[in-house]
Amino acid sequence: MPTRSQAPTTRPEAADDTPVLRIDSLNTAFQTRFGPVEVVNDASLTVHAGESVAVVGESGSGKSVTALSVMGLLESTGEVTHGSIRLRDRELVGLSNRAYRAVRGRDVGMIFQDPTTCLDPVYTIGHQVTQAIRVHADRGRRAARERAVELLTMVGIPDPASRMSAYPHELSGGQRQRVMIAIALACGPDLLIADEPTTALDVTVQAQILDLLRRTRRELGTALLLITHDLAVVSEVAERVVVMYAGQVVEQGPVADVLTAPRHPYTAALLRSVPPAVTDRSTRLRVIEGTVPSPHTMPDGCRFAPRCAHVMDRCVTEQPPLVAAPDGRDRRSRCWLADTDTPPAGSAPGTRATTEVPR
Amino acid sequence: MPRMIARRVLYGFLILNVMTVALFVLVRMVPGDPVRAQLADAAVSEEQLAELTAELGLDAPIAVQLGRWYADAARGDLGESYALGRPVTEVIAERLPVTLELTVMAVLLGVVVGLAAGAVSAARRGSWIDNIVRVGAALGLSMPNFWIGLLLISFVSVVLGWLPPLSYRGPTEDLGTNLAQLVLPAIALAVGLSASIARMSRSAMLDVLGSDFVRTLRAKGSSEFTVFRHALRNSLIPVLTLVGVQLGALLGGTVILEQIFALPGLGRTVFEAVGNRDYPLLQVSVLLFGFLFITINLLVDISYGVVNPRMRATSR
Repeated sequence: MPTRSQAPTTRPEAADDTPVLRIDSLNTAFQTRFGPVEVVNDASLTVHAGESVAVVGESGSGKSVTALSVMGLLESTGEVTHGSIRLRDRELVGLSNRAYRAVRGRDVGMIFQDPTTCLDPVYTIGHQVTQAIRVHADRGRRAARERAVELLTMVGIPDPASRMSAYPHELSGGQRQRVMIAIALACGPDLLIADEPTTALDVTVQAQILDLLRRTRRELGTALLLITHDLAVVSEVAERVVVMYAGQVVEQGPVADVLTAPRHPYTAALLRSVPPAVTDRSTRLRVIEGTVPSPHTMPDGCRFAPRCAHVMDRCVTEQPPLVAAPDGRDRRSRCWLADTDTPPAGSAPGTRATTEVPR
Repeated sequence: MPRMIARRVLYGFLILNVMTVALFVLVRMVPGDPVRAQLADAAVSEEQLAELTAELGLDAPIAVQLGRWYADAARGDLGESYALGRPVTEVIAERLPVTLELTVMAVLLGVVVGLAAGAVSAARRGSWIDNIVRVGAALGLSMPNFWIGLLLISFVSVVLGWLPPLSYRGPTEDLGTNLAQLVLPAIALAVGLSASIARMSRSAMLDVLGSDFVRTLRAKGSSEFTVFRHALRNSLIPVLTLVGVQLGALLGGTVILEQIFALPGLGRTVFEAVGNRDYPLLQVSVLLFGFLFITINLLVDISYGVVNPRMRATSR
């Protein structure tokens, strides 16, 4: 696990205190045949200007749905049922379709997991980038084209002027993700949401894309909300991390702190399931026993209780709130043991709920 | 692309030749002979019949007859119609435009109506429009075109008290009359086509509307109209294939509909030529249908490249 040496918060716009994104006790539910299912429950997180925040969790933890809730791009059966999403000073929950369209692309851009399917196959790259510029900016065709070439240059597309007339299938996966980033940044948004941006890419290309994301944040001051399941990516790119489990935020704080001294047993278990280094085969990996509870059979108490090594009677009956850690370092965790002096997760590597797997 | 076209033209040519031979043989195997059909009521002796048969060359073995047909065709002579006593080329030249006009009208109508219905139905999934389109498409698919033709003509004449003018006028002679004569059969032909296009474009649109790049478009802040435009263009690919396939059925439909609506087109010519055992005319008109079908399918394949850039790269 590579650790970050930099200070956790060095923001270009330190003077501006209004967070770029502030999600407050968000609930998102989907209509299903068996009634409404709450996929995100009481999720809160904040992204400051120029900051890079990662949301980690297994599939089904609600991290992508949280991101799509911000974009207002939930499927027609999904709906934000409670809470608030503020972009700068603007409340997004309850915004009309028309007003939301003005926000998307202009104030917040988004890139997705699979760049091979995210670009329209029958239009040229140039058309799609230019379109992103012209949706919000009242620019002429020529000016928009020039800006598009600029954007493609910035994201590192070789020979951008001639690639403008290429179709998506003529580009590699990494290049297509670069184009997606160019599209997302076309109108200079305050916030870029990246939903698993490197998952579908080759390992070597992954590093390049992460590097690009870091560079654009540094150069443009765009805040980044990175959705990922990959803790290595988190430590590479993010300053703060939000860990989600079964639709809830279970822990958040500065990356260096959370990854070295997790306060929630789930975070700790997650960390132990990561290979320490490629060359080190001496230690055994641990899997977290059991599975994420389905939204239909959510436990009454702590949602991690059935899989937790430190489970107590109270955990099964009463749901812990997300509380600030006693040391006050902008850390929060959702565990009954969190306010005790000995953080549970750091101590004894749970022998009960984890199994060793040979590597 | 050029190589693909060359290959397809070659295949088309081979298919036409297979058709020529099969048709030539099949027609002569059907009971009844042209000489008796021509002279049905006239009192003619067996010798006279034999004489006439020999004169038309129908006493020779089929292979020899076929050889002669090819030799003549190579010189541009497609023979003379038995029933009409005029060169086949002349008859065809007169009748082909009627069928082409009818087919073009029907295809345009079918594509425009079908695509619009399918696209709107997908965009408003679950609404009353969607329900109407889905039920309508199922109905349209289950009604044979000649029946729709009969229904249309009785509806128009009984309820509206109007009948399309009977004696045919070409579009250059009298466009109004011409259109009045063609509109009903064109609708009858278009119903089935538009029904299948509506279904196909609906499901293609639904696929596309749920795809990742549509989400990207929305993430850009594009309007629903832009999303719709992109989705429509992407769903044209399967629709185009369908048009090519359905065209066979459509051309077949002209045979009966031209009969019902008394249009002197190629379809009616085939119908009459079969009744008269008019071998030379039948041979050429049926071949022409085959030629039309192959050509239009080739055009469809070529136009894939226009709507789908991925085809341009792979089929070089």
